[in-house]
Amino acid sequence: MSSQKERNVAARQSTSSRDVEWVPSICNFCSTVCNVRVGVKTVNGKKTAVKIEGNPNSPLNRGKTCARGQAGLRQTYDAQRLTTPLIRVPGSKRGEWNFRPASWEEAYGYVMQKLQENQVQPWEMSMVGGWTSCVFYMPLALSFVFSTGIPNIVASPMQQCVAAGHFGNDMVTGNFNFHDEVLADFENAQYIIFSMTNSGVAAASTSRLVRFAEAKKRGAKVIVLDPRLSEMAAKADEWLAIKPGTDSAFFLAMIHVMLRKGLYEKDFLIKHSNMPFLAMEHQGMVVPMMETNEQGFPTAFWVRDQISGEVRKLPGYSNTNAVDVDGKNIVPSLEVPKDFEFNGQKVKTIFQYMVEQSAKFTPAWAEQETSIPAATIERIAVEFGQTRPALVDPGWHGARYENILNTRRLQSIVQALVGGFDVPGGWMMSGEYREKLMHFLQAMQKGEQVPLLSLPGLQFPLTAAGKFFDPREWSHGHPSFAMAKSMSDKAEGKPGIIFPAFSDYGLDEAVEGKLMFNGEPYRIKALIMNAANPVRHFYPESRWKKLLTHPNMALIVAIDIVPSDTAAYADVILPNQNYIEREEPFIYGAGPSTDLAITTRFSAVDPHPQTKGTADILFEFVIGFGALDKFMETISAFTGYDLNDIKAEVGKATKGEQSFTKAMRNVSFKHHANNLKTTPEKLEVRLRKEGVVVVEPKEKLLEHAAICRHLPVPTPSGRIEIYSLLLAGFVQQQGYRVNWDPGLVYFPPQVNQEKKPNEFFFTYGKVPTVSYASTNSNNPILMALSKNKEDEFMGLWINPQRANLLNIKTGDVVTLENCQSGQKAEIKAFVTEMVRPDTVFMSSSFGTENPLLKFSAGVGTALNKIVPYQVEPIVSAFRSQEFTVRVTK
Amino acid sequence: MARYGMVIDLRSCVGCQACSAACALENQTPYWSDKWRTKVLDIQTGQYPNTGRYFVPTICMHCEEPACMTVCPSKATFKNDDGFVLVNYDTCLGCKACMAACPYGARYVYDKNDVRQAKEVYGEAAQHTKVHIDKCTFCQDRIALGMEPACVSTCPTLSRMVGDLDDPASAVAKAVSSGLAKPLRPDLGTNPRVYYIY
Amino acid sequence: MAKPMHLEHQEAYEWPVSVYLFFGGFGGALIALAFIFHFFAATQSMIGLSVISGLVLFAIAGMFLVFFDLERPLNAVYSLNNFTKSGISWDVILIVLNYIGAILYVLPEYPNLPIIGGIGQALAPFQLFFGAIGAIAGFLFPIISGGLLAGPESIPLWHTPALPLLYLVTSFELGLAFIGSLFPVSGLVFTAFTGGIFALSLLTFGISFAYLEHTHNGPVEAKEGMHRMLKTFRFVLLYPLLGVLFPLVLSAYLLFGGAASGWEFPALAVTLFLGGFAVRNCVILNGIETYPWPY
Repeated sequence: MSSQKERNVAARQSTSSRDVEWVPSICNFCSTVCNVRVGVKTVNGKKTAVKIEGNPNSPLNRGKTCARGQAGLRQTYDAQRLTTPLIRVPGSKRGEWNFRPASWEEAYGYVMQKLQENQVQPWEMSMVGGWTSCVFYMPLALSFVFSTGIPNIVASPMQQCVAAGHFGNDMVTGNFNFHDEVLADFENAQYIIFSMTNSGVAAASTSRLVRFAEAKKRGAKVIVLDPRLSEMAAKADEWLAIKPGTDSAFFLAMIHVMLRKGLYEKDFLIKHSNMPFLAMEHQGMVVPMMETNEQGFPTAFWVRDQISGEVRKLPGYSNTNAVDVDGKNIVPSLEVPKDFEFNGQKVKTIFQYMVEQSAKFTPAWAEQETSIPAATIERIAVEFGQTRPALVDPGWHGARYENILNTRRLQSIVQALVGGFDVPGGWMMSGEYREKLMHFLQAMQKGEQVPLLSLPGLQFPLTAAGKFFDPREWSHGHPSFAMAKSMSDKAEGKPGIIFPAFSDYGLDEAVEGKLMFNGEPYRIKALIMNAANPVRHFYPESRWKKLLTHPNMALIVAIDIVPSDTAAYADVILPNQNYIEREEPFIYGAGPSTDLAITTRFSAVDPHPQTKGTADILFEFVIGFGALDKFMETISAFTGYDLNDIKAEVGKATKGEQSFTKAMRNVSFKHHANNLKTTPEKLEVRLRKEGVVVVEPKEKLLEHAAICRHLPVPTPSGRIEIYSLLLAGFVQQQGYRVNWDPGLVYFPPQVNQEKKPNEFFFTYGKVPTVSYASTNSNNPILMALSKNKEDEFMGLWINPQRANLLNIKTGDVVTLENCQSGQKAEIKAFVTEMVRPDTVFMSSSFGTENPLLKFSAGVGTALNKIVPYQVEPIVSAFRSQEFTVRVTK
Repeated sequence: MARYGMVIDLRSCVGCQACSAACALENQTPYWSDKWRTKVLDIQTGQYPNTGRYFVPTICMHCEEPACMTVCPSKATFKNDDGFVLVNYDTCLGCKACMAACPYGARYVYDKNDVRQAKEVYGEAAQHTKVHIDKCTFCQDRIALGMEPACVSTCPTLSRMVGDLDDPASAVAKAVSSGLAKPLRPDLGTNPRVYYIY
Repeated sequence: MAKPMHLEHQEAYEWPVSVYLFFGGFGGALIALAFIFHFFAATQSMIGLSVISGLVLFAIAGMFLVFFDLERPLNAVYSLNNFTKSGISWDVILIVLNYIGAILYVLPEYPNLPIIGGIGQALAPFQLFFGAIGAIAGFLFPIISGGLLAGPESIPLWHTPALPLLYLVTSFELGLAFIGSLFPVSGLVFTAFTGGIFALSLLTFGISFAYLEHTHNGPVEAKEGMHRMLKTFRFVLLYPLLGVLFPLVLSAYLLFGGAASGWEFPALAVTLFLGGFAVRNCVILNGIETYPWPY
């Protein structure tokens, strides 16, 4: 026991959490959007953020937060914070950090002047947005471009992630932004398979981890497919070191086994998927028997009813196949007798065709592709098929190979075979997604439309991106440059990109003046970048540096918080408030929360006086372009917010009585308060106290709003589509290509299989102490943690079997060369047993260059130095590790 | 009086290092010198393809018989009434006998440079204004406020639990009494109050 | 448990601690030897030099401990707080006793100095008493300070009684060689000195061997530490060769009739000095922390 004196001494050792006020906010260090509380107290006379805790009220992260979440508040106090607008010093070159402080008026004036001088037309501008812009400012960003006539947004989550992997899942389930709409219910699953996933769960996504941890504690069996022993794989009962890029072969073999052994939820497939639909073969393609309307949406399908033995007609869009168009209850068959005919055609069910198509994908075949033993694949397929609930993690990041969309789609098909949607241990749709679906269906029944931003799942990108692709949507007749480039490709007989949503495809040609549209050059002369760091986050680095420094590029505006590698190329830098400082212009749904919940940020500390919120910057630009009325109308049309409310609040802002951020926030609060039958004041009090408010708990929602059981999904047919109608549509429009085969196909990664002794497959991934957001790399605590594990985190992982042959030891500097493109980078080696001998691995989030970022500049190797520009043809997703590399000392 | 203990579950830890970051901010540990009160070891075993990878969070064990307390010449290391082993920053010589004596590597020097850097980063809110040997305090100030230690509160995989080892209903007591959670190197006679499940 | 993958080098003690241990042990031995010399009709200058060198060494050692190793030297005033259990507290007490004992013992040897001489004369009847205090404290110091390393179980390379004993024996051996090189010794004194050095070097050899065995058959952290030491050329040269074998051979030669030509004792002093420092410094620098983790 201690003396009184000692106890007094001990009492003096206080922690940061003493005497703080907790202000609710949303973490900004990855798109998991955990709910947090920021601890604030007065230090040196100023309100200062001193600690972050997870919000215990959060249905997402349940009071927990990862290393990035904890360390994030230091961004607020980064010595390099951009605190005033900056204008490039005349004579200095882009890439040099040579700016002078300016007022906002000056900065805006400079922008307008440059646009005028260079006669920049609206279509000659493009916005470039990071994920923050997508998640928190989508209504404003979209409304901005539509009201100003700018048909171009390059959004960095799309080609790297959302469009890339998620789109594959979307083909089956009708979702769009999977990680924001779906939470895998790990904690109730008994058998879980992960493929190409690490950062989406273990490294780190807190909402997934809290659930996965429960699974581990309850003894769920975990299988991880990964060429290296990632954090995720370390937690596996079986780590399958699969050959990179061949995961689709594994899933095809699983499907093969499960279909043949009956290890699927028959009832689910019959009722809620398109497996029982009748289909025929036409020119080697499987084509479902269906009727469509003018727009091409299905209006009828046919199935064979088990009970009556007759063929019955089903509605074109529905959640269930158990009721035909006449309202009669039926039980569709998964299989029809041999030589069954309908309308004079020989037909089979989709199920039967899928069984046929999967015939060649045996476990033995898969062993050849993946190097995983056939017996293992078969055993896992059987275990998975026999265990309930069994779960395939949907995956997150996807832009590695041309076949990733297919891989994620196959994962969703496996998940569909076990009927794992909106059931315990399955994929749980978010409350927000459910709400959108319900409103959409109600509106559809009344023949009405919902606002653009309320479109559920796939409906949203198909409509929104569709607007960018259609020249008729724009008064100047120019679609996005990416679509123009795609059209130009096709005109030259080359395959273009079917769906270049928010893509950078063709940007370099546009800047160089080589892109033609309607006989004239379609140039891009100006970029407005918000929370984006394309010099680091797109591929390759050289491409963006070239187009940013091109003489044709008249104006580059960067809105950011700290100097990024990209900001060094700007002409004008506009300082943004960071997430701890800012109020947000909207109330948001709580990400993928299965409970329907709402949340927002409250300003925890005062922002630097010269910084502005994104809403204010966009409004001020819009006013400068003379498009304020149109902007407000578009916001109202896209969000469903009352236009009069918007006008009234914005009116106050234009008079200087409040910021535009506050104006929109008031509108949003009023809108949500109305929906919840309360007042904005009461809602504010509640949100400030709880941080995240559950509007309707998941138990209640699942009683009446589960997908499949109650609600159709946003696929063309409303059912879970094992056979993808969307892909079939691509076949019709574009002709056949294996990438959009609507059935079951395999196409291997296009990498050199016969390799020399110093040639390897290349993989990359994240580590749990980095954040991919635009300017989160300079965090001193995260860098300290990363440097503590410098070998594992920043080294090139290489197996000793090969390293010894090449005389490489841990710490040696080696040259990494892309065998296809010749790009080179230097990196230190990390010799480890944790990676396949034929594969190397490096971490993706290091290699910052801007010397102002003193904690991260020059640390590690930048991934995009060796990744070339190569995209796949559906959404221009990056094929960012589809090459082999040479390692030399 | 409660006898606080911690259980760390190595089955669920994914090595995300949220605990290190949380502690660094809560207790202003000198991350700039790569010194941490709690770290997560990343241990690799075996050979491909049977490689194993394990994450082991390390922390002061707040032993019942602390080796560090025996060797401290100034009794700066002492045990408070809750049994937490603490360091009196006023009387610590910085002789590092405790650092040598601790079998769990829980201590480090908060040296002159660290104190200076802390002042720069945290200003008047700096907690460490004197040179001393530093280690985990079990966030006993947070416990006094009714909160859990920062590392426990933040752990995304719920791999850390604290509670009263003498309360049979507490999760930690159950884990320990069932034999699921074990102390490390009990042969050293330190009688740690942090137990590991592995 | 499989062999642990990474063994961490201890970070607490570095070379200042080895200087402290070495000079303190050496100093303590000199003071103890000074008391022993009293019984062999040693000269005033021999005793005086031993004591004064001893005290100077203690001063340097103390300085190294306090100013070069402590992170907060000014807090050294608190170092006696844990006098029941802490090795450092005991060391401080021993240093104080060494000073008191040694000074009060040596003062009576200088009755003719101004002022001090008077005090010395007054202390003369108690000379042996103070001498004994100094000798016991001086004898204990290398053991207790060696116990700083050997006490805690956390660094297996150090956790053996062989280590304090080794430091005790090597301190006395060096003490004899040092005094022997500063004073012309002949006849019986010569035999006593060479015999002492020979006996102590035999003991050194035996204890070193026991230490080697302890680490070789001991925990993997001890074995690894010892292997690292033996792989260092400098250590192998300075300690086993120069610090153990050379004194053993040379002192045997001198003891069993070899003629002395005046370079032998200085040579012994130098090699024992180098070896003594090497065995302390290398042991400290190669100390490896316990690996308590379950993988």
